[in-house]
Amino acid sequence: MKVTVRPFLFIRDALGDRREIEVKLNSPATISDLLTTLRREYGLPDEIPIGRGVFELFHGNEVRNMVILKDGRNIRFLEGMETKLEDGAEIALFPPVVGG
Amino acid sequence: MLTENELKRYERQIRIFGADGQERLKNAKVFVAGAGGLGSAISIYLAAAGIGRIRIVDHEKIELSNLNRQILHCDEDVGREKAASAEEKLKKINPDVSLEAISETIEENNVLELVDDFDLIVDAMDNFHTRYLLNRTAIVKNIPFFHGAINGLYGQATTIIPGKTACLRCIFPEPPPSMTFPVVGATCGVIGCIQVTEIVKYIVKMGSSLENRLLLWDGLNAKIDEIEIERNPSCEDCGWK
Repeated sequence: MKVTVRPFLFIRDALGDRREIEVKLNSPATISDLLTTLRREYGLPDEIPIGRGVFELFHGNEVRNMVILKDGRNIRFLEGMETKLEDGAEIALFPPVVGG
Repeated sequence: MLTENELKRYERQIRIFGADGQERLKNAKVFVAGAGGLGSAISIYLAAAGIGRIRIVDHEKIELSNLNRQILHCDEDVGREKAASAEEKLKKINPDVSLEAISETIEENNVLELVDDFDLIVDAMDNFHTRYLLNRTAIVKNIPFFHGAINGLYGQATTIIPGKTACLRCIFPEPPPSMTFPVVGATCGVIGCIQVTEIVKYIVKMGSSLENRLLLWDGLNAKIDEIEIERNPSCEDCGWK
């Protein structure tokens, strides 16, 4: 199956400044499988340097500081990392922005 | 009715949405949560646009390190309450606006009273704890909530209409970790001005808004993107609506 990944802000930079990435996965696949593929094959890093600081995306296999939406819905309302993916699914990855 | 002075003062925007649109702004009551970086840009443009009544709430005092972005406040204001400083400046910008600046912490036990009968809530906070409180209050009162947040050269904004759009909790079910965030002052200007644009359009009933869309501003690369978002039917804050 193919899913479309849309990374935003510095996560997009870390994935080569691509607006969309089509990722091939073996069926059945989950968000966890997708992230493993993005890390292994597309170079999604554990940490991203921002200015003089560092933004952590993964601590081991645990996701940190990254919002994941599948077709517009936060995966925490679905089945989290075990959320199943279908052919054509759109996955948005973006860092939370907190300040004011 | 608009006065002669008001017709002259708002002439350039009356050309866009007419005298009736300007009257809508004059009759509007806008609640601004925060008088910091976002709150400065937001309240200045709301006042300049001729919003009839603005209530701005912030409990903090001005620190020197605020001044790179909190453009309501000046060097001589360091140590003063942000609310008092905001009231003074905004009254100078537009004396026709009925302005109330309140130096209080927005909490569970006072938020309903603070928001009172205001028409909408603007998010100019710096933490998700208070944002969730304002999000729930907007849903309970059935009034729009205009979200904005910034970090460094990045920012985000969306417009939340209870019962119609995804709420803040639908997008961010759990609070991101609080941090002392870095920020370039102009990022507050970008996001605050997007929020005010959304508010003005909502009040004068023009255009289409950021409903069910999260706008992302990447100032580092000068790019604007948007993410389509959907309501979560089982959301603990808005699922019942």
